[in-house]
Amino acid sequence: MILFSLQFILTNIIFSVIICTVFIRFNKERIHSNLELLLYSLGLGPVFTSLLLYYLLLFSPHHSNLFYILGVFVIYLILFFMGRKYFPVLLADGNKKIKKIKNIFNNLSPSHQTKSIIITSFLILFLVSFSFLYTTNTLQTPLDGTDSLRYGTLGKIFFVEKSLEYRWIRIYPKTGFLQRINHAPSFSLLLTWEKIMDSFFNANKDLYYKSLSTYYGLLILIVMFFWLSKKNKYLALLGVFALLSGFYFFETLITQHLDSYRIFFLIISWIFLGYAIEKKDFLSFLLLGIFSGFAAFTHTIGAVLVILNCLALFIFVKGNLKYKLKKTTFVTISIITFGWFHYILDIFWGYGWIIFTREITWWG
Amino acid sequence: MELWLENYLSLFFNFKLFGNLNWLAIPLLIYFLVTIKKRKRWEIAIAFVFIFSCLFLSSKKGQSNPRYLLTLYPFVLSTIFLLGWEYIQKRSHRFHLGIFIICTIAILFNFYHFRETYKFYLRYKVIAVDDYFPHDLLKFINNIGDLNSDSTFLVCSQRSLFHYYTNKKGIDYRDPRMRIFKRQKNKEATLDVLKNELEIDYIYLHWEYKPNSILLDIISNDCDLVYQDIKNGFYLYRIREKEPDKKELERLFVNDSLLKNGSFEEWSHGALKKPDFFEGGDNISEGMIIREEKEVKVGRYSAKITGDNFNFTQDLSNFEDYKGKSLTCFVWVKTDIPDKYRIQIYDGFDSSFSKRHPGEGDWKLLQVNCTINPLAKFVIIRVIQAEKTEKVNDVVYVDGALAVEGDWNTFYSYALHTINEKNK
Repeated sequence: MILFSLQFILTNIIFSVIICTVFIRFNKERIHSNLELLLYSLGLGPVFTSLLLYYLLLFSPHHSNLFYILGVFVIYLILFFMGRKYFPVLLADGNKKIKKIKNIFNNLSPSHQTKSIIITSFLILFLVSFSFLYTTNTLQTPLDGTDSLRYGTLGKIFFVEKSLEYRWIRIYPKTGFLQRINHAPSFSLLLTWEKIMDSFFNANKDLYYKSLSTYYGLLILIVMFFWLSKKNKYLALLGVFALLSGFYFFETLITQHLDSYRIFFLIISWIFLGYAIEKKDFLSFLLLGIFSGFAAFTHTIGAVLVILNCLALFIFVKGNLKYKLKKTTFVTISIITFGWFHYILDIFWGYGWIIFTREITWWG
Repeated sequence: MELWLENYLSLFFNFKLFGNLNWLAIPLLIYFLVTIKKRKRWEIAIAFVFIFSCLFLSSKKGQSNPRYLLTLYPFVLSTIFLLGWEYIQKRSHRFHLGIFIICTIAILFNFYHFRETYKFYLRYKVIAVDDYFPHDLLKFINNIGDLNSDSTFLVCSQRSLFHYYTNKKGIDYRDPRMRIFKRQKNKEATLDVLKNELEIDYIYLHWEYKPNSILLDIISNDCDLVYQDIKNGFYLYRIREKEPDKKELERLFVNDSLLKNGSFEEWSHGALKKPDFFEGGDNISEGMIIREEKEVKVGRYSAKITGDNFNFTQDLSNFEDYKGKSLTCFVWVKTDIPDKYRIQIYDGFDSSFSKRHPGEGDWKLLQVNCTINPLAKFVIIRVIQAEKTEKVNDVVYVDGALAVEGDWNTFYSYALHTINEKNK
């Protein structure tokens, strides 16, 4: 459990905050709320780590675990230096928010204060109970979902081979595992990442990998709450319960699957599509590219739907043709860099993705 | 209508999977289109992406894979609430309250109506009181030692449990290498391909996989059931290298059983009386049990019993040695009466029963496992128990009653272990 906590805090929190500070660097004019950026960035630590591993294993395979962990850390160190001045800004924003909440609370009448305390206590109790049951029970149940087992087996193969070769070779000769997965291997690589970290502690677990579905499911809930609470707090609460009353979403919180992981990036990419068209600032275009790229990097559906993002940007962003082309090209390049690159490889040198069906060429 | 609601529009009308407020997306989309002139460009852009996303998912038959539809669910619901709020915003406070109450009731109704599904998953995944995972089977596979480096499992299951959790080699049933297997026209050729070309020793089968008739024939006649996990529907079969040495297996029934005269060879009171060491209850009268010489599974004789509502039993003589320990009892049973006969171990505290004989008219090896209570004052093994059906002419043949110490999953796993131990 200690190792899991370490992996979770490092990958999901620390790495995400580092990425967020880099975004804040580009948000000097405060077009976006820094705390909103932090909320979206909380999903970026795992997927960006997975992307770094992807490129490392693709271009520099068959090295030791130390090589890959150092490779990832070096990139985060560079990002840390890029954003180091903005940690205090983020902290100050957090403090401001807390003070604002305190002020609102102090200005409430005593009866409203009691009501708020009761509601908050109830929510905290619910969250603590869920977290306790989740970590002691749910997380301890074995990995058993059809897809998560398939992606997990592939992640284990990447770990053993230290190469993405078997992403493009259908049968793994050592065990006979058969796969033909159209998606980029981002979810699998998170198990590879966990195994790489485990190797330094002589452990062999999959707790971190199993926790991803819940983590991203909760992030989706929080994003929904955040947007609805801009209108009304009760509307936001109602929205959260409505989302949970759909069994398929509820399931993502307690089983292991990549659904919440892939949906999160797609939703955020749509938010930044709106921002990019409305605000037309550099950060919005960049984040549209990054989140769209990651939506593609997590699943084939995302890879197709982000093409629509580019199309919508080109059609609806205000400006002359040159401006539209320039912005759309920038977003397209970002999308390719942050995930679509895999499908280009697959189309031209791999199985052909969903466009062609061919047996493997040069990988085998 | 049903086709549209349950298929093409299932994202909006599949209340169990996507809640019962999603249908509001349709009138709100109309509201959006009606007010499109007032809309900002970014709103139209997102609507554009959303509509084309829906069309793409439909073209990919998203309705038959609700996981695809899940992609849009959080977005659709958020939009419903945002647009819905916009629509009601200028109305009175009471109107707001009314809408809130209706929505809350709708949501609570959804939780209540599908409560069993939620309950199941809460028990299974949150409180984790129900365990639906084949731990023991996977452990068993990992510990199988009689494999050489080329030995392979035929993996007939969609879930990759085998590859994720075991250290063995497998060939997936969808593997292109299986084409040669599928091309064979008869059982002999298929078996030859399985054993010699694909070097398959074991067949790992989940109940969801439906084997073709040839594979079914091979499983029934050329394999031994090595391990079964009935709760989770997993079965592990071993393809026989050669026919099992019948004498060796018979010796197990005759020599290893904790039951006396388990193979029904001794009838010192005569062929028309009960066999030695076995008793019948009140419902077994003179002549109901006779020695059988034709329908025999082990040795020279079996017991033929005609009647209804009876127990045919033996008290375990040295039962004290097994207090607190596990016992497994196997009995060969033949009958064409379905679901009437089973076997039982009873220690005065607890009872364990086998599955019932399906009554297909052939010999089936029934099995019961039991842990004897440490306070037990006796242990009775009911090698056949007939349920009351009021049909007094029903016939059952019983042979080879083998009771052994240990919690054995199948007869084959016991036999393999015992024969290997003896050969050491």
